[in-house]
Amino acid sequence: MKIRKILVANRGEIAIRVIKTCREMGINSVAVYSDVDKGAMHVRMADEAHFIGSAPARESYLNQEKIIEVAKKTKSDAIHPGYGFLAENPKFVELLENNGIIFIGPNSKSIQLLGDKTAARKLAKSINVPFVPGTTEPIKTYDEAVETTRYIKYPILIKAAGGGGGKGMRIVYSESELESALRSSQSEALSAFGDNRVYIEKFIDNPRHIEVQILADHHGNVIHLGERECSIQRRHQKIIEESPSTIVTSDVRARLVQSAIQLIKTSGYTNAGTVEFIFDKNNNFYFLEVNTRLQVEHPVTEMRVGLDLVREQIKIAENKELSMKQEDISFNGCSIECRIYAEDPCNNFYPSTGKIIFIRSPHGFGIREDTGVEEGTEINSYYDPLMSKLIVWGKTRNEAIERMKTALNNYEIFGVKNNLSLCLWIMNHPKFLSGHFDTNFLKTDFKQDDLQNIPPLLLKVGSIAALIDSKMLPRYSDGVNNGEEIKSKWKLKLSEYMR
Amino acid sequence: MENYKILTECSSIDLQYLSSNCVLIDGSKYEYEILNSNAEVKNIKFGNYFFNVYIKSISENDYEIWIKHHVFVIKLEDIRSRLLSQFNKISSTDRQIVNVIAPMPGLIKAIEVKQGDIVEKGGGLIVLEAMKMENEIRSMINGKIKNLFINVNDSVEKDQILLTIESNVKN
Repeated sequence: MKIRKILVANRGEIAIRVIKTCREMGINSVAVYSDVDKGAMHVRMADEAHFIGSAPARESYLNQEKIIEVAKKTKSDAIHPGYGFLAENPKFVELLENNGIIFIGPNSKSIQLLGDKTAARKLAKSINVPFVPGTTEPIKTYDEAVETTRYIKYPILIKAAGGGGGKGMRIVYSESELESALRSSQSEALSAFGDNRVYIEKFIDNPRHIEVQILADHHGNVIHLGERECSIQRRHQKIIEESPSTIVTSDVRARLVQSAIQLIKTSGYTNAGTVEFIFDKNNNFYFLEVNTRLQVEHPVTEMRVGLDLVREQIKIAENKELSMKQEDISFNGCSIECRIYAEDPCNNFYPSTGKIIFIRSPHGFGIREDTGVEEGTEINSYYDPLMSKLIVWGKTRNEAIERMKTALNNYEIFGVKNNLSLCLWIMNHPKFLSGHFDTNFLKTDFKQDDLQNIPPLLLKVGSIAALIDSKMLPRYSDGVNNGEEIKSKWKLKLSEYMR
Repeated sequence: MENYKILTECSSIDLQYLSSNCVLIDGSKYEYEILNSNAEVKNIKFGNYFFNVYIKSISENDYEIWIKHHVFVIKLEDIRSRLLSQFNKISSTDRQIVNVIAPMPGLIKAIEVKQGDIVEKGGGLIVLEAMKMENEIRSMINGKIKNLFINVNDSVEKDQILLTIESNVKN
């Protein structure tokens, strides 16, 4: 079935990213927005936009009935969920299936199967794909948790069965921490996913997080688009991703992508999906989970293989066969992504809010930015703090890193605290440059003071700027406005002093 | 000739205002020009370097400066206000009350201290849920909890005072 109109059930950069591909394919796009997003960029990008509710996500971007109502009213053939919000909600997908609206993503059964982390672990076990030792059933009570720790030794990880993104995740080093960790994990899981089920797995020390991008059509064709290295994280959330990984050798890669393809095939999964693995210190890999959606970091793959993943998603949803075979895919050079977050790395990575006063994005050969913000955008605390993604491509990793440094140096965002300086710090760090890092990198190597060094030149310029902006300028005339018409703010101030 | 002192967390510079396009910084002369003085973000020529600078006044003498990817706070003092602040320092008591404010709007998930508790710098105070993440607010000083203004499940606004800590003498 040809898709002519798509409702994009998301906001920010990913909504804009999807709308752009729709436009390229001649497909009409419908945006939805909450009351605080009326002036948001994605609303103006789409062909039309519809109000769906108040700011809290559960009343707008998670409001299934309202979104379906808009889809029907606008005669949309399909819904693209982006990531987050309803992207991995099997009940929503089932509702669409019953209403004859195409969901651009897997069917509700696959989401149910793979989105349930414990069921996915059972699946991996059944086809001999290695997975992290731990429970394949949810843990409900403290007693069950204690029981589990008899055969999985501390440290252990408590994780939400209903979703990822680090929400609800707790590392537990000893039994004394177990009870409170279990309770807070369950409560965080409930508020994030509406599902308080958690499970326990062995905590792998200093792991790396590497994932495989998959495309699968409805005709049994499954291909992989290589791996992405996502180990640079803070609070279990990714900041920097790259492809290829510096530690995946060609024979490890062969086994890795084979495991991913096997998991996807066995589960009957279709559309774009990501199989996540963790690597231990000895480069053994373990299946972690399947993300049944388009990932935030998908552009890293697109840059290397020259495919638009959203376009492929739409074609698969139209029931078309994949237009390429595995051997048609070639991997070129290296790509890196920095997630630009509205958060302050100098203050515990707290999310920052406020209005973007000024923004200047970098451009140039090999530089791509997927952004959801512009000058005047208000960053509020209702939604994810991701503002934009800066992606570069280079023939080699070094070339990509140099390009990323240049891009970050040319990037200015004023008014909302952000992590540009942290991204630059990482790009210059010997561990990142050598490729020897793991998911604890920021925790162990980053100190807030590392970003407090202000170049003396900038300090001087800043001092002058502050002085001119202040009311402290001297009272005497220096001939600035002799006979000149006084217009500017600070000249006016001078003249006031001179009266 | 007006003299100013510019202080950051870890440095201090002397600035002398010579004219509307010339200053003396730590004894060296620099020429500058503001190319768009009306705009919120200033385009500043400093010698042969050009910058976009955003200046946000955060209190009477404190300014947040945004240049390139850097954000830093400077304190600008003229000689008079500097003398005044020195006087204040002498006359104030050794013990000081510090407000702990919400860094962002959110929901109070847990309060880890009670009135009268002794806290250490870096010790946990409050768990604030915002953007679906639980954030622990930690003490920035050694001291004693003086007042608590919030309860579990309260919604708080950014910059709302959550509690106060009476600092130790040795902070």
